[in-house]
Amino acid sequence: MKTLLITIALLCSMASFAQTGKYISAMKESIAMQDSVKTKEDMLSLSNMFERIAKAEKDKWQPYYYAALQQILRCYQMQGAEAKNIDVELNRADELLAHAEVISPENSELICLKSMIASGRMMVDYITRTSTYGPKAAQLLTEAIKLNPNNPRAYLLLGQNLFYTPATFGGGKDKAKPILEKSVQLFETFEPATELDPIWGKGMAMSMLKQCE
Amino acid sequence: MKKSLLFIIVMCQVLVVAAQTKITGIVSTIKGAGIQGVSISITDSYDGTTTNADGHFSFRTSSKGQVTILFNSIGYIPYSQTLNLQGDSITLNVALKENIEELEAAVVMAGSFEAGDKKRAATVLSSLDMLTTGASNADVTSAIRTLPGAQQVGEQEGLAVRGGSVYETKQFIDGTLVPKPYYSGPENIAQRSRFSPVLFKGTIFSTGGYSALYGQALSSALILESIDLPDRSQASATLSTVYLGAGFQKLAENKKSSWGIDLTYTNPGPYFKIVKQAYEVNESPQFYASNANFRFKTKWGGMVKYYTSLDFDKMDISRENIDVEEYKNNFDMTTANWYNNLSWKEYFGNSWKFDMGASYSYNRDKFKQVVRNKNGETVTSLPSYLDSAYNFNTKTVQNFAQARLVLEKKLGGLNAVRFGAEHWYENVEYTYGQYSRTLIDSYTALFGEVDFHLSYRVALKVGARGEYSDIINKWNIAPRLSAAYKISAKSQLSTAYGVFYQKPENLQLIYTSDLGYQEASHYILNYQYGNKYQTLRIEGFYKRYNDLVKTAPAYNNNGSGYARGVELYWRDKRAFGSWLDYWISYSYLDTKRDYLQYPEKMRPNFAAEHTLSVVAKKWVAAISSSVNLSYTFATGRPYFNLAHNSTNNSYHIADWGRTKCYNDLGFSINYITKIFGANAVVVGSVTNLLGQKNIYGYSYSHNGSIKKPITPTADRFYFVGVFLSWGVDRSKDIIDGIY
Repeated sequence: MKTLLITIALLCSMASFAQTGKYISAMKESIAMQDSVKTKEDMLSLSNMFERIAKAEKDKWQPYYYAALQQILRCYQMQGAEAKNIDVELNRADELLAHAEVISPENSELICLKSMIASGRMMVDYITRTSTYGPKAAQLLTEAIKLNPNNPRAYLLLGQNLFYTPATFGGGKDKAKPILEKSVQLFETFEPATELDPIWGKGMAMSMLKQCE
Repeated sequence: MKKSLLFIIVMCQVLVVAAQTKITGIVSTIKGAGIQGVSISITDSYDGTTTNADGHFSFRTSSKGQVTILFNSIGYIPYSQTLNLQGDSITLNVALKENIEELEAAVVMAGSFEAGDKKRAATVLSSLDMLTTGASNADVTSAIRTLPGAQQVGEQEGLAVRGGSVYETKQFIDGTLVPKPYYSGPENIAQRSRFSPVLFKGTIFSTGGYSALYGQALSSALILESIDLPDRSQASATLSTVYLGAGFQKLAENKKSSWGIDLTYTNPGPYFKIVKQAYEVNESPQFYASNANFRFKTKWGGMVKYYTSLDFDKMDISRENIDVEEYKNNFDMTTANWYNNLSWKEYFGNSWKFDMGASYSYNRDKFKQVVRNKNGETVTSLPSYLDSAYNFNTKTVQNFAQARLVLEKKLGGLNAVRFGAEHWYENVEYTYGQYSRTLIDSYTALFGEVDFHLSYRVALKVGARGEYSDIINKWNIAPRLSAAYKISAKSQLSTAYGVFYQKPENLQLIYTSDLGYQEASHYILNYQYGNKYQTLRIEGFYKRYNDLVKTAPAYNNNGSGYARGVELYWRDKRAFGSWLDYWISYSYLDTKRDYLQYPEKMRPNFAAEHTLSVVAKKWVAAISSSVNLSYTFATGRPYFNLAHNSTNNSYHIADWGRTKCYNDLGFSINYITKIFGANAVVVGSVTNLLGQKNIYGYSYSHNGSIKKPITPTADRFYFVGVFLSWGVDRSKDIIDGIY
């Protein structure tokens, strides 16, 4: 009897281990794919993959995070006639993040993505939207930094925004430089809370900092 | 034991692989075109895929039994289906329905130019454009004149559009008519618009075929939509060569309401001392302008806006008398204007929305002109024909009130139905010397229109408007129809047809109320190509005028006319590798009309055959400045002297000609900097850089033997101004806060 119970218990735990293992391996595989996707179409496929994991798991914020991230990066590539669809495409990213925030409220990484959405909406029409979405993106990043002062991505995005803002409007390379330096410094010591948490951005921060020199 | 356990696990894995079901198929539109990027998923599993460029998909799932498969794509209505998975391959072809609301669908746009900060990437002019167009001097109307369809009629305020007179263009703010959109002034000197471009988030310049929601404009409607809440609280001040201003806008902490006031004092006296005008300034013109606003969001998500402006102006100038060389006409004017606009937009259950508007305005113009001799003494012994032409003393008091309600119901997708009613009341009292007449009219209109999308490619707008004016004592029915066909993601073809009615001018109605509506029919065909930064529009139109008012040989509605032409607009916001933002407008116009005292059908004096505008803007980061150039060219306009035959009260053409071509190269520079902690914009501008001697037309002496050109009041207009604003720029605080 005892052996049977142990066997069942073992089997159960094996099964649940298998389930967790499946989640981790599927996530790791998809996260690794991020480096190889180049086209908007592949980014959408990957975003959809993350969304399927997210919807099946229900209680993990990371797959929603990556699904939204791929969707946002895909919008950043939209140009010409496609640009007018950026708003609706970003609405999808907003929805994905809304799910993630229910699971993990006050998460610095999620707030960073929200600032990326604001910057993306600005791209639709810089001239008329800068005054609304510029400050909004900046305010979200301050919030992200407040929630986690050691988040290198928040500094990276802030530095990036300053980098692309003309000096007359309070931006410029000089303003961006110290912030990017801080970002690179934080990347050196950054340890993700779990192996599936975001770790991207170090290379970007370094190359942008180089451009500030 | 261990062995058996291992065996079970291995068996399970084998079973899982063996039980995988392959699902393949195509996802297409209703019409059968494959859709790329559709997300397909089996609920509660990781299994699924994304369709390829042809809409094909293929994937394996280990799920078994009853499952739900979901198809999802932006721009389409999601689709789900239950499947019974037994291990056999499944082929599934699915057609998705377009979600018109999400995709950029065809938009009915023939005849109208959208300008302003509306959230559409395809806007043509933003309020920033209006502030930075070379020769526009931050005047809405001047900036609009760089768009196709508008004539370069520089001797009077207003927009002469497609062969229509300035009377045929009306302005609307938040749905309600603005009876006096311009400052008052003497004949042949154009006045500025009362409203600053920064008050508006959207401007639609319709050059014809406009919606049934608007009426009483034969040619064109300038539809202005005021801004909602400001982005932040700010104080502002303006110092310039002709005016001083100060203002304050306060946004409530909860961002639900705001209020603001602005005061402006204009006195070009010192400027006129340096830059001589074509007339003598006896007393410097002075304009006292003030406005206030209050806006709040309702708890149901709607918006209430109130705007009021109060202006007092005076002017005292002397101009040459054509008939007697040593005489001067001394024109003395005082005016007062009070304008009020209240609007309430609200959404309520079941996709209904209402839009209420009310306005009241009061305007008083006092014009007095006397003829003086070279010693400045009033000439009392003028022959009667000169006395009646040059000596006058008039007072016009206009009260205008209106109320308007529009209901809108969204019918799924972009389909919608709108209907409503409006009522205008007007009371105008004219005093001429000791004579006085009062004109009272009530005007009621009922209107409705339907937006109907057959697919996201084909849009229809069908509407009608019924109008009744007390003084004319007759109803009219004006049908409106427009359609659009989206050829590709970037281009569309639109067409519009409409009948438009307009009451005769008040001064004609006061002479005789035995007049009917004037009528115009518009036929428009439009092609537009556009992407994020470029817009190309080609528009052809034909316009037929009926029942235009004739004032000689008798007052009646026997006038008629036509206008036809082709217009072109091209804008590239990122030309030459993002180097330049520029646009080109070209209009060709062929028009003739018989109206007022015209003896026959002839080209009116406000219609040039060819008009070309080129506007270019360049942001020069090195000097933090936006450098703007605008060039306008128009072929000569006709001028004529119509001489009176007293025997049958008719007129004949005693002399006629065509003015020389019109040229204006304008330049402006906007330098952005910080002064005393304020965000500052320093603006410098000059019109007619090349100093062309432009002529708008000619005035004739009474006997027709002398003619004098009507010219701008000075060859060039120079402007230098500093605009300061102190606002809470939150992004700065954030950046500082990080250090």
